[in-house]
Amino acid sequence: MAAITFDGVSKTYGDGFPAVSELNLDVNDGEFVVLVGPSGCGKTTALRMIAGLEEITGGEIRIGDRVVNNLPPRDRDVAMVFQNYALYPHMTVAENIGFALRMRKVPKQEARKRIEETARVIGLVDHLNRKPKQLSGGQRQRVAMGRAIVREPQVFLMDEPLSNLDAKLRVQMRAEISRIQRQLAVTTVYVTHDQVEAMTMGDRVAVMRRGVLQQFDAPQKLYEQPANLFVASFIGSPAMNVLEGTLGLPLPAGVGASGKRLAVGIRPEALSLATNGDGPRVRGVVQTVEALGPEQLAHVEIAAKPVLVEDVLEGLVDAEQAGELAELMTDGRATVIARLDASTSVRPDDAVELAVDTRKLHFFDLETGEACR
Amino acid sequence: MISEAAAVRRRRFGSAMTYSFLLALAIIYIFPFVIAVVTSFKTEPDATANPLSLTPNPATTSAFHQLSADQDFFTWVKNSVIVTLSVTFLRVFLDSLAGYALARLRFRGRGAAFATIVAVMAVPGVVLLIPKFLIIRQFGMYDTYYGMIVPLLVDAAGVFIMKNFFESIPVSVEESARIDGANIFRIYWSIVLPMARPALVTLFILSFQGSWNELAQFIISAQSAGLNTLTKGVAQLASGQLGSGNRYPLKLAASTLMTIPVALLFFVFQRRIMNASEGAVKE
Repeated sequence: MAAITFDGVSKTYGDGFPAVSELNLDVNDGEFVVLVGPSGCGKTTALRMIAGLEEITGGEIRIGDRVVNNLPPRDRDVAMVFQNYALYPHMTVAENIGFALRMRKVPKQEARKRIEETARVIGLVDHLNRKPKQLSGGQRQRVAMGRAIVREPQVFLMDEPLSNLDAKLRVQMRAEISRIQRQLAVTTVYVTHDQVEAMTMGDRVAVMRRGVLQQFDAPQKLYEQPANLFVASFIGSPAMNVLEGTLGLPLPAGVGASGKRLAVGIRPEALSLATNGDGPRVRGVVQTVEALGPEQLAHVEIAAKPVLVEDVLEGLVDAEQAGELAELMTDGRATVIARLDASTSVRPDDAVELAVDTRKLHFFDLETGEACR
Repeated sequence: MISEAAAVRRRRFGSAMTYSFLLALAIIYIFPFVIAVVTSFKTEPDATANPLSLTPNPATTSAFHQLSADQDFFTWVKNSVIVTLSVTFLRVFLDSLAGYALARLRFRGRGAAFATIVAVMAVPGVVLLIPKFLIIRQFGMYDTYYGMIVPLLVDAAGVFIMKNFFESIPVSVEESARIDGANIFRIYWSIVLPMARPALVTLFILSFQGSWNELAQFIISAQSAGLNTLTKGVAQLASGQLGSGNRYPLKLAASTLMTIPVALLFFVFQRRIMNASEGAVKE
């Protein structure tokens, strides 16, 4: 087990494209850290730099006390699970799991013992003599995990290991990976573009965009105190409602005093159908209602201006689709999403008043995109 | 209903025509080979009188007996086996090594090396015969097995096939092996080569067939009768150096025997050509 340190790490490709810029990140010993962000944000490059599969063009990476910048992958004592599993198709499950032990000349007796132990951990004891093509997607994924576990490495690296599984299996495997990681207490860096995976699995989550680290915090803190408009839009489903101006809502002390142009962010659960006693509120007309069982999402058009800056759009969709989304939203009307209790009676075209929980408001400087606190 | 029945009849008639055409084409292709096999079982007068007849009259195996009594024929077989097996195994190994290097390793001049190899494919083999002869002599390999084998050891087409196949193998599988502790040669030998089985089988068949049927290279690299291969020996038989008369049954018996190994190899390996990377990665 070992800590991982990124110290001003950069990666610029031959064509001048900066995949990762000046990344500073400390992963503690035994910690489960998730790198999350939209495609092309540099998260996979960062992971591959730890593995040694990608050269570093600036800065320093340390695993434990060792600087590993120039060490080949096999000398870094890391194990990696790939998005597409990357199993050896001509080898059985046992041979796949044991390949790394063979490379390290572990005595056969001991290797067999470790392979069997690993097979127990991943639940594939009865499948040791099968070839990958005879396994289901979930089983192949577990073999890939087993190959990492058997090594007893200092660090686990996982590159979107669940993205090829269907939704239900993914939920199950998510819990499984978390359980195994806790059991083995191996420092783990996990890459995903799925914020639900990031929030549910990580001890801490690093949000990246365009090669730059945006915020590195515990999941709840990312949700409750996003550092900027991008993180605010990216984390949370449905996304935070971001509107230009302050809508006449009360500003916390210190915010807005400098005459900055502001945006206000309201999480869907900070909006509720107003009753007589409620304080600040916004008026609007219900457009659609999505019933989700225990709750419903009401899309309400209000008299406000949506924020269509890149920070927000790229938090919602991938960069290449941001323009398309902006076009859809340029009708000058703002629609907010309110997360309402299932028992609340709302229908499309209803005129409603939404009460705003002012304790859960977020304010951002529209010029810099940074949160105002 | 009537029009539907008519459509079915039309379709049947169409496929009958197609199959008749294909059958005719198959017969045209296979006919010379059938003639060769049948003639090898004829007597010499019968073969001369009825060269295209498909029924030997009388049927005899005397041509084969004659061949088996001929010491030269065994020398030819021995030489062909030695040269073909050496060339086939070494060529598959060397072509795959070169193909892997060109597909995966980053080194200066890689692009130029590959362009040269592709360019060589465009040069007719016959143009290179005299230069090859000169080089073989210069290296003191003339009239030896080395002179017959070494120039055939690597071929541009084989390198090309292997390079393309290796490029289709997911890089992540090799990266995974690198992290597992394998060096470049180990990745090539233990991971990539077993995954390249379909390409290796293809290359094996092509190399075996190519070197078994090779003639020009053996003409320029050796002159002793003791180094004659089947192709060279049968060619000399056909040109009438070894005797008088047309000797059709003898020549065609030798030709028939010569085709057996290649045909066998093809039928044995055909079944083993399959997708070897199935299950490696989630497509």
